[in-house]
Formats: sequence, C-alpha cells, structure tokens
Amino acid sequence: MKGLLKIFTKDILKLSLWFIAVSLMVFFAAKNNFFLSLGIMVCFSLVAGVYVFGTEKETNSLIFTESLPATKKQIWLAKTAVIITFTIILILLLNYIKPSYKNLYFKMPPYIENGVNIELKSEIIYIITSMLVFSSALSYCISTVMKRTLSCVLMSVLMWILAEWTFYTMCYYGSGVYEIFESANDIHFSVSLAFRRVYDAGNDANLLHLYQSFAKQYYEQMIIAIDLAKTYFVATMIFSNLVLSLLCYYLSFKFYTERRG
Amino acid sequence: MGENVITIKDLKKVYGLQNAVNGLNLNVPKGSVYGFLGRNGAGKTTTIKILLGLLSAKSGEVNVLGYNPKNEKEAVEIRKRTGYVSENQKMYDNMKIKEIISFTKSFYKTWDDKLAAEFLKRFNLDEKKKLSELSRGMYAQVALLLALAFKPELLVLDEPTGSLDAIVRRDFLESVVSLIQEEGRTVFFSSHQINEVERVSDWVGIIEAGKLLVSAPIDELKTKTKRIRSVFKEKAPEVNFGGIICKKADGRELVTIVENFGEEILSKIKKEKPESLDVYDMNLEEIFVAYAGGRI
Repeated sequence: MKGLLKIFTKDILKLSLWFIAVSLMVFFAAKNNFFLSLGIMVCFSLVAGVYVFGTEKETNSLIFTESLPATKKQIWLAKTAVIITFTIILILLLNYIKPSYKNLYFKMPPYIENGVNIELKSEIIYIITSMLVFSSALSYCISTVMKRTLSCVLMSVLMWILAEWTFYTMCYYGSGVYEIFESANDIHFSVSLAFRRVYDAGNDANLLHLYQSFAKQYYEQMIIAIDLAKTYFVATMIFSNLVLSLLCYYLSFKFYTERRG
Repeated sequence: MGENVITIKDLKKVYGLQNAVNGLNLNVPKGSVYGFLGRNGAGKTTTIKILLGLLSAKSGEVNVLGYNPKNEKEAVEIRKRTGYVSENQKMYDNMKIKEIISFTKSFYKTWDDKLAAEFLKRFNLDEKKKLSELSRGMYAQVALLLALAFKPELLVLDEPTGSLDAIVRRDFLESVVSLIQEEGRTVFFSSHQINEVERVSDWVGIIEAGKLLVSAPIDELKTKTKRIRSVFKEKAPEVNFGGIICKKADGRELVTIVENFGEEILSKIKKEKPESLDVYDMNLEEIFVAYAGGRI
C-alpha cells in the first residue's frame, strides 16, 4: 500500500486539474455562460481525461504494475483508496472555503427569512461540486483500465456528458427552486400589502383577521413547499450522482478484474 | 535436470479469429537457461504472459513452479517467485531509482537489500537519478535489478535486449547469466536474437505460429540437426521420410536438413544412390531458419 501510494502521487497532482476544471465549469455555468463552460470542459476533458486518466496503459507502466505479486483487485482497491482519500481532502478543503461560495456563485436576495435557508443555493453548489469531484475521481478508476487511447477518449466524453447532465439537472431543478422563491416572495409581498392596506384602513377587524390568517397560512405553505423542493432537489442530485458513480465504478471494477486477455 | 519448472500442455490462446498460441507443449528444466526462439508474432510474449497469469488461455494446462496461473491467487504466488522483465519495460518514470527500489521491495518478503546495493554498484547506477533521466541500457539494468533483488526462483525475460545496442546487450545478458546461475536458478527468456540465445542458453525451444517445433539442449540440437548435400547422376529424386525439416532440389543436387540425424536417416538417402553425399554441421541461426522459415 505504501508503495502504491507513491505511484499515484503524480496522477493525483494531475487529478487536481480535473477538480479545477469542474470548479470552473460550475463557476462559469452559474454565470449562464454555457459555451465558455462547454469549451473549458472539453479542453480539460481532453487534458485530464486522455492524458491523465489514460496514463496507465499496456504500452507503459500497466504491465509492470500487473506483474507485481498483487491481485488486480488489490491494485484496484489501492488506487480507489488513494483517490477517495484525495477526494475527501478536496471536499474538506472545499468546506473550508465554503463561505466564499455564496458570494461567488449566487447572490440570493434575502426576500424570505424566518425558517428558510437563504444559503440554499450555495449549499447546493457545494454538494454538487463535491459529487462531481467524486464522479471524476471514479472516472479515473475507469480510465486506468482502458488499454487504448480511443477508449480513454470515449470514456472521458462519457464522463463529460455525465458531468454536464448532472449540471443541467441541477440547473433545471435549481431554476424550479428559484421560481418557488420568487413566487413565495410575490405572494408574501401581495399578502403583506393587502394586510397593510386593511390594517391602515383599520375599519374591519374581521377582515383584518381573515387576511392575517390567510397570510399566515399561505406563508407556512410556501415554507413547506420550499423545504420540500430543497429536500427533493438535494436528494435527487445525491442519489443520481451516487447511483451513476457506483454503477460506473462497479462496471469498471468488473471489467478490470475480469479482463485477462 | 529431472524436474521441470515450467510445464505447458496443449496450450491455446485466441485473439479474435487469430490463433496466437495453438497447441503449445513445453517443458523447462530446473536450473536451465532456456532460450525461447521465435519470429515476431510467433506467440512468445503471449505464452509468457499466460505463464505469469497476466493473460488467460483458451484451453490447456500450465504449471509454473507448482502453481497454476489460471487461478489468480496461485498466479500471485508465481509472481512472488518469478522475476520478470518485459520487452521495452516501462516503469514509473517520475520515480528515482531508490524510490522504485523501495516501492518494489514492499511487494517481496524475500527482498535482499545487500543484493540490490551490489547491483547498483555493479551497474554503476546513481540511485538519486530519476528513471526518466536514464539511458535505455541503464533503464534495462534497473528493471533487471528489480527482477533479481528478491532472489527469484525463476527469471522470465521477454525480449529483454530488444532496444539495446550490441555492447549493452552483451553486458546485460552476461550479467543475467552469471548472476542467476551462481545459485542454480532457472532463466526463461524469449528472443529473436539468435546469436545471444546461442551464447547464453543451454536449452532452446523454437516456436512458430503458436506451436513449439523443437525443444532440446542446445548442444544436442546442434549434434542432431544436419544439412545433407547429395548429388545424383540425373535429376534429384523426390525424397520424403520422417525427420526432414526442409529440402531443396536443384537439378542433380538435393539439399535436406534433417533432425535426429543418424545412420537410419543416412541409409534412407543412400537408398536413392547418390553419386556423392556430404553432411554438414549447422549453427543455431541456420537451424532456426530451417525450422521457423522452412528454408535451407
């Protein structure tokens, strides 16, 4: 294990390129610059995917690694352990710098307070970025088993599509959450305005009471809706990322351990 | 030399529609330096990879040091006891020599630090140098050091000198043979460089199109394989009997290359009543060309 840790030092450094690419993608896509994020992803997929992930092939050190007295499963697990350790470090690092995220990506207007997490979007981006890093780390595992450059390119493209898909899913649900925020704000505003007018008029206590209870009820429903949307969104993202990542991992593990010519 | 370190029976390996190894039978005696000769694409590398458990065979039986490489756990046992240097071996070029030594050492309980230090001194290698900074010759020497420093029972070399110049190649092979034979271990090495096989091997096997054509101690092979040139009064007759490797008739002259040369074969040619009959010794290259290429 100690020895295997040494092998991957270089690759881990290269893997950080992938992490930077993902961060940049999130950053630019959050600014709604699709083509810029696309361009960056393509460039980094080529660099990180083909060059970095495809380094251990039969034409270079793969034969040496496999000729060592260790089973393929052991080699695979050692690589995974190193990569997951690295990913955890990245996530912790990301957690450390998290406060700057909410200003960097989204500036959520504090329309709604009292019980609603206005940092929702920065939290979401943090989770998604972490999951993307995790996915890309797993794509490393997949690509190391590939023998030919073409396979590495295809796998990189596949992982890139996965990353993009993940991101647009996020955007789709993200915009939904945002709309709920907006409509909640509108309703809150309208109800507050009506409430204000009635209160100012001060001539109908029953009507005032009716508006008050209506506003309160609506407001509570919106909070529930937002919480539901938040839960649904985060759960969907984590679940889809996790399922896809684990599926990729399982398939590549099977492919690697059972590929013996 | 009764015990065999490697035993292969009817081994078959297919890539797509192509038979890479096609019914190979091979025995490598313990303590021998076995030269595995064959043309490019004859099936040498595939056979070696199957021996080490790096490839799986379609069918056949393989036994290396008492283990079956088809079973992954047993393949690991084989690799624990076998030093392997592949053709144009690539390692982790970002590492320094001392780092790759430390890395490889962690896999072998039998690793001998003193021996590794001796090799470093003998090959004049600077352990602080990165692998990417080494010449091809030095790189091959590092690969050899890694394959020998854990005192393997068997050393498998797959075209180890393919990319080396003549002087480095000679040094490399002499190092291998002197080091390994000191302790009576076995060397199995593939090559298409016939002169180097002839210089260092005591056994030789010739493989062609995935089949072993001959396997014998090199001296015995040379003694029993002969070129017979016979001249007849008229056109040379068609001869066809067991033991002919290849033949060429040109007018009155008939040249045959035979295996298991002896009185029995001579008498078969004498039956055709040649005017003259001469028997010539052959070197390993000529024998190889006759077997693998079917040429005189």
